[in-house]
Amino acid sequence: MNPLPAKYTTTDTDAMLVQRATAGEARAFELLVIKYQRRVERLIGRMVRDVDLVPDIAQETFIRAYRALPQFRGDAQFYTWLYRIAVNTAKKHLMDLKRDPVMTLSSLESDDDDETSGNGLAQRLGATDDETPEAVLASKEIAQAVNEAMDALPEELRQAITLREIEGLSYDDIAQALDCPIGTVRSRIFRAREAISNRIKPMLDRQAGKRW
Amino acid sequence: MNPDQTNRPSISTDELQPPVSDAAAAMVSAWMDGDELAVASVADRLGNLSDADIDSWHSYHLIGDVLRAGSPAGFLCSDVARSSARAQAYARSIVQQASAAPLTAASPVTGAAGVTLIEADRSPNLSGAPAANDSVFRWKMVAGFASVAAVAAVAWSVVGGNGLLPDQGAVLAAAPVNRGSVQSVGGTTQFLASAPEPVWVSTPQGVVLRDPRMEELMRTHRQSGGGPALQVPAGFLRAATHDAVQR
Repeated sequence: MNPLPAKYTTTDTDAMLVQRATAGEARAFELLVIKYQRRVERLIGRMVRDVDLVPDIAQETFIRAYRALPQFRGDAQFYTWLYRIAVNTAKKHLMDLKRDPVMTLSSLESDDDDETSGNGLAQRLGATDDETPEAVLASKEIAQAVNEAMDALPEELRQAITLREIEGLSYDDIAQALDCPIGTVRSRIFRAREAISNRIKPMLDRQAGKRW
Repeated sequence: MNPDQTNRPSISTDELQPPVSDAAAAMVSAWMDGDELAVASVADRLGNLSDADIDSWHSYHLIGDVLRAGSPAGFLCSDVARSSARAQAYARSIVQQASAAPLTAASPVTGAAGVTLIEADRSPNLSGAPAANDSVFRWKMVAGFASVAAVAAVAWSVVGGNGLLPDQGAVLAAAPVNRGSVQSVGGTTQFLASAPEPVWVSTPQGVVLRDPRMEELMRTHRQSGGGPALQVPAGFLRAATHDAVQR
């Protein structure tokens, strides 16, 4: 039995945060920054050669986005809009610095904003130039820990979080696929996340003292 | 029976067993997936989210990024190891910098509180903010008197009450055409001195009403209005001419 309406989309969360940030709640925009910081920096890292430029361009991207929030009409997803700002900001920096991008912008645009497509892009590129050896090592350690935690999860938890995070299914779709109530799906996904988080948190705390 | 209770014992190790009472983290987990009830619940306390909530938000999204990347090289970025505290500090600094820097004129301004801070940095000429002396009534009176005085000065100069003799040609142009005024100029055009009233003239075409000034003009400029406009007579066209005899 499902007493909840079958509307589960991440865009609802983003839309709420954008609305609240536009209304003046800085915390809402902070959450958006925390959520999309990695994606934005990774995107910018593929466009510029100099790894030192990535934080600056990412910072300018978020500042521009914050100032332009009232212009965000909500026609597209927030990250699509943020992606465009990031690309334009990186282009501007490249123009200013008379540098050539690592790859053509057209190929980036074809990849759009999805993480899965970004995965393929990264694989085509191999090791990107925006990574320091320390970052590569730390990232591998974290990825290994996440994968090990995933393997250690019970099957139902692993299925639930896989369908959610990798396949991008809604709670309703996952409930149908796993033939269980939405409340169960919600609980399984949370428990899976919490279990993985417990595995990587000590690693994150240890790395926090380093500069990447 | 709660189905969650049936699932919970299936977790293999204690390490993977989350705290049962961690309802806030569960709410964050559902919220980041867009669960409608969770969105509504968190929306009510968005400004009061605890550090633990932010930690959950950070780590859950990091996990999602790693899982979607598939391989270690796929999610690598310079700040992947950044802790939740550092991420919060970074996000906070972004908002502070965006609020501190002046807003561009092209950016729309809303009545939102967060944007009002930026609005205060804008130039007074662009912001439309009230003037510093807006609350002083006597300045409004001064502005009113100045406006009335300016209108009065313009009106006085237009009416001609400034005591200066206007240009004679302008007077001639502005004066109505009548016998007295033309005569005062010196009678250079005699026909104007004749009666301006239209007169009835008997012509071969019948009695017509004509302006005597036009008749005088025709007589004076006969050399330019003598012949018909059409050299070859056309039966269906009436040849125009200024010659009264031929008309």
